[in-house]
Amino acid sequence: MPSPDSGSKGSIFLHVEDNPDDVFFVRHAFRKAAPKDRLLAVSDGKEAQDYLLGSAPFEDRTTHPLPDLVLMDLKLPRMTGLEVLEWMKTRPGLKDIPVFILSSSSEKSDVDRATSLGADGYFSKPGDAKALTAIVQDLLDFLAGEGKPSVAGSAQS
Amino acid sequence: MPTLSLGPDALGTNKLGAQTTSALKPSLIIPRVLLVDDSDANLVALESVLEVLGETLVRARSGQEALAALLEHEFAVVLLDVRMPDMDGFEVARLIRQRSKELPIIFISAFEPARDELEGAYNLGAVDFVVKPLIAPVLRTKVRVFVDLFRSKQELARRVEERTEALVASERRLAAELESFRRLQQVSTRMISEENPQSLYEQILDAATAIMRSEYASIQMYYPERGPAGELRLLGFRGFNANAARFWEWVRPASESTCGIALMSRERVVVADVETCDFMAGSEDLRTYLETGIHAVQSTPLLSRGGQLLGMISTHWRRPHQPAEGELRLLDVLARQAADLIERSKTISEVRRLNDDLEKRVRERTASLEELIRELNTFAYTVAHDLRAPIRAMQTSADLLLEECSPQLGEFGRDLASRIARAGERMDALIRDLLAYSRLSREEVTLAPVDLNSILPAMLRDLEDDLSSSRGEVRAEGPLPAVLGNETMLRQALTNLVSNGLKFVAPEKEPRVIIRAESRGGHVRIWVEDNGIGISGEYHDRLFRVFERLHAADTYPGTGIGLAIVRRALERMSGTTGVISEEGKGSRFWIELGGPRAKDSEDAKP
Repeated sequence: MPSPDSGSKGSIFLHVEDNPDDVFFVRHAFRKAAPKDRLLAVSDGKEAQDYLLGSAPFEDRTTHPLPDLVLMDLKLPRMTGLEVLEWMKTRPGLKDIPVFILSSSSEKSDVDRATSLGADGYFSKPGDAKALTAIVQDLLDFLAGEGKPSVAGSAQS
Repeated sequence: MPTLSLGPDALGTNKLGAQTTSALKPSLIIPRVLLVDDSDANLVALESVLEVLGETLVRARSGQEALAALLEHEFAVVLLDVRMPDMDGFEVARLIRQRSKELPIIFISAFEPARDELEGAYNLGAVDFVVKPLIAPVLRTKVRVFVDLFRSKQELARRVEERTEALVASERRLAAELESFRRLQQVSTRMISEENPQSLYEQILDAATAIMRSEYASIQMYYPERGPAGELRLLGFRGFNANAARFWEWVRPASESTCGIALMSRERVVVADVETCDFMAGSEDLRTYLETGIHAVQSTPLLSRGGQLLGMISTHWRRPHQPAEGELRLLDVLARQAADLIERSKTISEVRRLNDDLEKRVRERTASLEELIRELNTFAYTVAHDLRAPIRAMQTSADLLLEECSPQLGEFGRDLASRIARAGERMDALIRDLLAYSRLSREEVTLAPVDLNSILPAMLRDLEDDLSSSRGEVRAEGPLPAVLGNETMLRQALTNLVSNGLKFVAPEKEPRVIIRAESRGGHVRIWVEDNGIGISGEYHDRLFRVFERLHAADTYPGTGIGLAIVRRALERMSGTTGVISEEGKGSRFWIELGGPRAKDSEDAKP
């Protein structure tokens, strides 16, 4: 279920992640790095698709607005991150939303496929809080336009 | 215009030859006695004396008649009157001598001859000079001597001729046998190298017809499992029509054919004339023989060296025929050899079948093992991958505890939290290395020339933390060449070696790592030398195995996978790795790869 943050200013991020720990740490990093921005989270690929389409239970665009950026895991129930990414690139209203991958995989094949499907960046999940905060900062920088669209500064960790 | 027809007979075939020989057989010539006298009374008198001898007496009333008779017949002896009108006895004797040097001449005279007459007569070849009155027993005895002599000479000549003929025949037989031997030997040579069973049977058939001079031949294989006593199956034939081939396709022991009898007796059966053969009389087999044009047949069993019946070889003739002993002996040689070859051919196909079966099973096993390995690899990868998620959560939580709840934790709590963080870090490193190791096994490897100079900076960046924490130094000595390898793997292997060099030093010592290259034939050996603690020789073998550690984790931290990764990476790049080291004297690790020009030959490898 989506859990919209309080506050209505700043950018809107959609986090697609099935691991509650990772959801927790990313939310924590966002609170520290970007307290004004809204972070919405869904827990599988199908839910991400429903959210982006605005279908039930996400019809209300005031509580479930289209995100400015999608941060997505690859291994997801029901529909994988790569499938969601591929699908988004076929939808006129969605294909311009930047998508970043945050995955536990640092396999070159995963990085290559995500990049070829149009992902704007690829991070592998770090094992410490500081590195995660740095990733969130990268995303904010990207939206602010000073983006170093990174294919994983820390991908090989 | 009359034409001379040269039919097959004129060309002298074997059969004609045989007939000609019998026509030439010498018949004894009846001994004749020639009586020459111008007086009928004298002739009658001579006849009355010699009649009792029983020889044919031929009269001549003059020299001319005598010479004419000599042209017509051969004579044992001539009784020649000396005094005759026109041509006297001496003149006749001279003319006789011109024709025959050997014909005995007995002169008969009414007068005692003068000395010179007698000498002349003997000079002309007379064997006797008889003066009348004739004494009958004496003359008879004299004539009989010459008749007997003639008979003996005739007999001798006949014997000589017979012996000569026998010699010619035996020579001809020998030549034929020699020819058969030669043919047998040629066929044998071909047969020995023949592995296709059907071609082998054809060769045997050719050899059998050649040796036995037969118009037909057949080869049968024994199937012991059919029926109560086994059956013979026709495998190949010469001269059979479709009907015969169908009729004899399977031959049971009850069959009234030669092969049926030989199947029971395990011995050769020869029938020189099928129409007079008792056991065939009235049988379907006989009808089929005659229908096929067969009048003589022999069947010889093919026996293995152990005496087992393998099959049968039969030859058949258009005419009644008794095969010669020599031919049968040769056929036995062929049968012996054919049996050996059939046994061998059976063994070969059996071995081949087993081999194919084995190969198929090996292929199946290999395929299922490969599938299993793929599954295990995927499994290992998934497990390692999934293990990282909780470790990350643990580490990050410990991290956040230390960072944001430090005052509440107190010193003991902080120590515990940092222990959790370090443990997580070690576990994560372990899993990362395992993943790297398993990736090395899974991934496709393409080999290309890699410039060592260009991967060095990236490698040093990867090792930045190690370098600064150890105050170590890494430098390349001399220019580094290009090698044939995979850039990612090579970088990983070298990074691990250099990282070890920086790690395993005595406390308080500043690590120095030198990288140098050495050309060895078409290969390049890259040395990574350190001033570390060294490794005792007894551990060198174990060093490159997974999870081999020579030190406690808190003295020299590490996963125990680093060198296993190096070895696997080199294996995948068709290279080798090793170490020269002594405890306390530093280590010199090396890896060896093909030079960039080895690419062409390496491309062929998977």
